[in-house]
Amino acid sequence: MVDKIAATAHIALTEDERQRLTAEFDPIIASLTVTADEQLSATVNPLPVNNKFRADVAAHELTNDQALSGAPEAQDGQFMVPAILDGE
Amino acid sequence: MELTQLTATDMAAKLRAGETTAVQLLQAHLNAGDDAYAYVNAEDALAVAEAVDAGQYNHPMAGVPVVISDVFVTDTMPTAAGSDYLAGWIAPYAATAVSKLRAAGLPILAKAKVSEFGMGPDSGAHQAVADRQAPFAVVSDTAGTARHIAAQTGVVAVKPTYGAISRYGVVAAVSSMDTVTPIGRTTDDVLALHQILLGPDELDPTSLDHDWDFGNSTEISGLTVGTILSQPADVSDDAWVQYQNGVTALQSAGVQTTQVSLESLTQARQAAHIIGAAEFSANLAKFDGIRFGNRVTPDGATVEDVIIASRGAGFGYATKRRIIIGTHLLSAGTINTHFFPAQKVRTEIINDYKTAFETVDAIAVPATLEQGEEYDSTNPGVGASLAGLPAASVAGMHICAPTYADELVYRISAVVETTAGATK
Amino acid sequence: MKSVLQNYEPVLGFEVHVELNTATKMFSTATNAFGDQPNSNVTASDLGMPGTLPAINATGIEYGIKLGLALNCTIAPESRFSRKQYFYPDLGKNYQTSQAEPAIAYDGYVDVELDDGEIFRVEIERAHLEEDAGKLTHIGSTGRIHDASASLVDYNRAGVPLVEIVSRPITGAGERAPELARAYLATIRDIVKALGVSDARMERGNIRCDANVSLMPIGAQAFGTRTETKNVNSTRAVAAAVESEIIRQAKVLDAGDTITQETRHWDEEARSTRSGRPKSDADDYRYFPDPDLVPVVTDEAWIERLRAELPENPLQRRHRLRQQWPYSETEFRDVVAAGLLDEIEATVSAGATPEAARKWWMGEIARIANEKGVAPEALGVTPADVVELESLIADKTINDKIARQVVGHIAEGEGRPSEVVQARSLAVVSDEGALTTAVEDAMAANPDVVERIKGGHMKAVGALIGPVMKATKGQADAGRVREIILEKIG
Repeated sequence: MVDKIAATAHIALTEDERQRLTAEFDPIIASLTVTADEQLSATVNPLPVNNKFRADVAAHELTNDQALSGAPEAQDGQFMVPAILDGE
Repeated sequence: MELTQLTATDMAAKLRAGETTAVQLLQAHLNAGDDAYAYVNAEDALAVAEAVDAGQYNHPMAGVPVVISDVFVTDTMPTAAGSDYLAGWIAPYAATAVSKLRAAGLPILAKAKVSEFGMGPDSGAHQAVADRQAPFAVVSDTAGTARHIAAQTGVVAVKPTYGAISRYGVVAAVSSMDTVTPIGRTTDDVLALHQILLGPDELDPTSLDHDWDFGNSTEISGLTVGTILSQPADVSDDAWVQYQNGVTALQSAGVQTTQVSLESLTQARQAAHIIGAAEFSANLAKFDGIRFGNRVTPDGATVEDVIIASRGAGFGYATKRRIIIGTHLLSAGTINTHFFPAQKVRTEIINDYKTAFETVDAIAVPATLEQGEEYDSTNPGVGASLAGLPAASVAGMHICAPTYADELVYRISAVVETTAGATK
Repeated sequence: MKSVLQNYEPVLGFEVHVELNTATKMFSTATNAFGDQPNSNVTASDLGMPGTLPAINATGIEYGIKLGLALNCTIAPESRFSRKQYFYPDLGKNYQTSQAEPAIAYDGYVDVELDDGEIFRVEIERAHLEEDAGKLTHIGSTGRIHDASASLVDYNRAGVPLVEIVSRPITGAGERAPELARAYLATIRDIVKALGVSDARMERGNIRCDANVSLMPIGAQAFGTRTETKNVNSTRAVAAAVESEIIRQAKVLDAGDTITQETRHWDEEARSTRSGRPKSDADDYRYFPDPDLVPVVTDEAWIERLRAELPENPLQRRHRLRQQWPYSETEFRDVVAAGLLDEIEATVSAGATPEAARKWWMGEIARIANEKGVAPEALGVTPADVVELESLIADKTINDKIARQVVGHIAEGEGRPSEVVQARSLAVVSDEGALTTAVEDAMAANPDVVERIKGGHMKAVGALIGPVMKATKGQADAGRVREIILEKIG
């Protein structure tokens, strides 16, 4: 279970972490049960605010240098990553 | 009296009166120690202090140094949010809260250490304020953490109504609960900081456009405050005594107290952990080793391997555990048995508070609970986080009020802090 | 096709992604533009940087509602955005901000006209707003993903607003399934173009179509296993892809095998689909409502204001114009295919006859535009210019040939027709003295022709008109020249 979710979440676990989490996982999930009134609506935002839109006007754009300033690897103004194997 | 021993508002008053300078204030705090900090911003803060002394700012708090926790993104200082993943990263933009502090002329003394992504008990900002290394500070409160640590360190924290202060540029933990929170040694100091940070922000659609009025009134007589009468099992004797002192102070000030209990809060811990882990898992997905942060490239790695390894190396155990639990809680099946019901419990909690606030103006409970293992634990602030309520942690008491009633929370907090336990 | 469909009924379904032409992105204030320097139209939010938040583009919402209305959809009283989560390098946040239930618009339909004029109604399940992903370029010997050594990521397109239009399963098209696929996509294109909510340039990927195809035995109730052919980006290709997939699936089924549920890709060169990744309905994207965004709540006043701004439905408009204009079926179809309905209608409104409007737009204007490699409407010739040209011809200021030259000069930016005529002294030579002199010169130079005319060979007049036109640089009225010649010869 933990391995499968870790794969979905794209997280490498050390062996220690894996063992620890495997032991903790079920008890934690078991402790996280709630009973809700089905009739109630679900709250996403704590305050009932709607329709917060912004004007369709360009602002806050980064320069190419700024965009790439934190990139671990870049080439020709683009972010560089190793090959993708499972191509869409 | 040493400058660092003053309240922030007194520092400002002395500055305005010409009895000290912004540079002197800054130097005094720089000399007071830096063990609570992830990054000391001496040079830049000095430049701002000099500009204040040269008369370039007219905000009444200009020149009083401030500390921000390292979850606030900054463009001239590194931001790590307590995570190895980000260590050394300097953003090309700054949090709105940071921009507001700069615009008001408050020298940013340092960025304080935090637990990874602010999700834990360590907060250098609280420590610095308590130890008089900083007059006041700005932190992010997720599910009551900042208020709980305030109670433990003896400082005042006031979490505003959710959305009162922009979250833009706060490294997101739990979007629907993260709230920028000012902390200080007195209610007045916290309020001064609060007013600098307030306001709508086009970059944060959950920020509120509201006409906040903090008035000048200090009167609380005639208010009704909900309290508890018997000592809960997870409240220590000391904490209970401190709480009762606070209740007595309120009563002496003419407040009517009445017992309240919110049935739905018994599920607040679970709901907050479920919603918190779920949102956290999605918010942290952007940390993938591609655009910012520290990449780990195993031999012959594909991009998939890089993402997995970078997150594996950059995140600590608590973060990984929370992401994995959150991922599970949003997965097919579990999302219907856990996540959506938790959102409904949240509705129930909001409704319960609304009902309670029909008979009381505010609710006051003990601010410290004994903590067990993380997922078994809760704190008195979690309900207010789920409901987006303004809430203060002051002198061992946690006070919350209806949304938008931030001013009322400050008024009550100012009275409670006169009881024993307030550090001043 | 025909033989294949003796045993099977094809079931189609389309997911069409339409890129909106808002000034900025759906959830960020970065410019929405095509072809700029990579990673220059980005904010920190498009790069998924820590602490950044989305903010909803008001115009994007209104375009989504308008498109929903044009598709005869119900507009959701309350809808919101959700996070569709999966890790991929072109996705800055590793989730796509999209809409789960309800979409901003749902339960609609669109009427599609087939080649013979038959109307086929396609039901629309939903039209939802979401954001586009960035663009990956694969570095390697062939530039293809399979043997790439690395990839480059450009996030300029990341966050560009999309409306995804999802049809309900379409049955009953039979052997006309490919034709319906083409007509459906063309109809969506025409609608978004008429609305002005998208540049609708399929070659740039402004409109992208995923085509779902399955076969079921004739008379069966349950649909067969479907495949989804991704990103088919022209009306012709979608027809070909549907046809190719129907034939392929029929062969598989005929052989007693089963269809694999999968994503397929349209190979333009091979004119067939090829297998992509297996796709199951159980792909778990862990959708959940985005807590960074608040709900979109519509009311009747807002919806009716937007409805009032809708242009005429393109199909109804075509039917109306086909009635109003005296064109043959072929002429009308050519005008539609050339995309010149707007220009011709505007020209007619400005005072030209439909015939004249068609003659100019489908003739000289289209020819010059073609030479220059631009669209006729982008040539710089306006409907008013066409009307003016026609009136210059009618009052014999210029003749047809000169008028065609004037079009060329207008396209060069030399001004309006009368300005060009004046500046270039193109007006017909109406000075009788000059014309008479030119005729006399021509007769003197061609005595043999004069003799033949006198002998009754009236066609020979043309042999004299030529030199006169040449002498007047083409600016003579040929009819008047002919009259003068005949007067002279008696």
